[in-house]
Amino acid sequence: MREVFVTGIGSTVFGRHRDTAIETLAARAGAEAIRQSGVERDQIGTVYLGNFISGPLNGKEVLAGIVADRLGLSGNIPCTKVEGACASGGIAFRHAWLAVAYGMCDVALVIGVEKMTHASTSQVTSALNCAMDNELDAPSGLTFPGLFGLAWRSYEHKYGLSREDVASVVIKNKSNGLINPLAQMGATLTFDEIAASSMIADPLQLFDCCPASDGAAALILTSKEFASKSAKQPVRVLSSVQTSGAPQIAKHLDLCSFEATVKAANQAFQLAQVRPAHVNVVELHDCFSIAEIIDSEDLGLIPRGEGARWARDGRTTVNGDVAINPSGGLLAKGHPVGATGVGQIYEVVAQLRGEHPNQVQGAKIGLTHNLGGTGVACTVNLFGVV
Amino acid sequence: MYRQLIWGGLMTAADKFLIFHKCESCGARCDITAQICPTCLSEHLMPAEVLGEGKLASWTTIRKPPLQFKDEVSYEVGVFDLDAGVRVTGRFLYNAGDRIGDRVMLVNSQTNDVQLEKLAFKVIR
Repeated sequence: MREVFVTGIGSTVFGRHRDTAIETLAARAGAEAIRQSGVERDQIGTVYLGNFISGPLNGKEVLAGIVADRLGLSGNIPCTKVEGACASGGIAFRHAWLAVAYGMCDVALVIGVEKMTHASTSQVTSALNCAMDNELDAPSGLTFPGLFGLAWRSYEHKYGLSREDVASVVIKNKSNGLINPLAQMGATLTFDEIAASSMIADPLQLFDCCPASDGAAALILTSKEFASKSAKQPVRVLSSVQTSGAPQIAKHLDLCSFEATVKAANQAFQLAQVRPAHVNVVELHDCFSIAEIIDSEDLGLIPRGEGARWARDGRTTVNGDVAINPSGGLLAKGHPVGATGVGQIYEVVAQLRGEHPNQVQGAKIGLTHNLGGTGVACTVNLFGVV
Repeated sequence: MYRQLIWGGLMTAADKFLIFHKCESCGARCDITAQICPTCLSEHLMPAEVLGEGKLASWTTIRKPPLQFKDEVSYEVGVFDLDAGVRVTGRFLYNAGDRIGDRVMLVNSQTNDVQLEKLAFKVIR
């Protein structure tokens, strides 16, 4: 297996792009990543594009080939759209990494994209529900916010948790989002404002939920010999792991843990020969406030039952023990579903280059975590500076 | 004689049992929606009754529903651990004071004042 480097990154702002076609968003991020990497387009050997619901929401499929055409990629190279619900972007990255790591090509383009804000909340909820078990879970009327409402109550019962504890995650991530020019919804929020926001899936309230977003992010991955073409510092992929988990809520033995995350994190740390305590910066899948608490424990970064306390005590801020979601995370940066996993890597690469607007000082090792469906698909990646 | 629910599962005529599949080849239990046994890959599956009683594992109130449930908001969804050792998701007919761990039972047309054609549970008082 060869060493693989991220040598170019690109991203649109996450937010509303009503007048821009989904393939244009993707091509914009892709063009930025290609230019930065210094590679020639005819050196790109494969394209993996993460997207979840371009069919139901945009009426467009075979996006990878369409976007490659927009970017003028020649040579009839393989272009693959990858779907794994909210983990689509992370899975696209992993497949591109595999292609370079195992010598199928020297340069791979990864893109993640989604366009959602033109649709109504009900339409978006219905489209997202395609990632649920529609025979056994969804007929009850359950939604993804509902899944995390169930998780919150279960966590509260098991470990104890207050509204204030969970609000500290929201306050931190919204505040981080204010510093990130790519973020959709940075804000200075008080506990009272969060507690007064409308109920979505009790006890989850509006500010506990990430927004629907439009956006795209892209990466160029290369082998070592092509990494020197980039004007920027190459960032090495230390490990990339993908796992699956239960596709039904009822098959999760613990409602406040995702076994796909636990397994992926264990493998990723083992392969990279890195310990959780070595990680300086983390971009994890905070689709809901309670998810950040659960994920940070599943990843082994924080002991079980202490995720909320760490957030409340400021140990996960940019200057804390481990910086979690300095980009603002999904809660503030936004969640253009298929773009999210790629956007997380964009953020971590910027951190490891020392160029992030909300920089974690001296960051050397970064982790990204992308989770899809009811925990059915997960990727965990570790990155390091050379 | 089984009553088909919108849920996709089945209840018996007595409305006390849920129907799962049991594999004739290896004896493993699987979901009613499975047509192939995930344990041994046999397609010889028979209906098997599971008593609709157990404990409340968690619940939430859905206030922003998918399109097809728009007219039903708000409603509760719960996860239930049946005594037979299976966990199911369904509607929860919540009453003030209900807590995780409370005993629950399948709601049917005899015990429930609403004619509910969905898999639903309520706390046993």
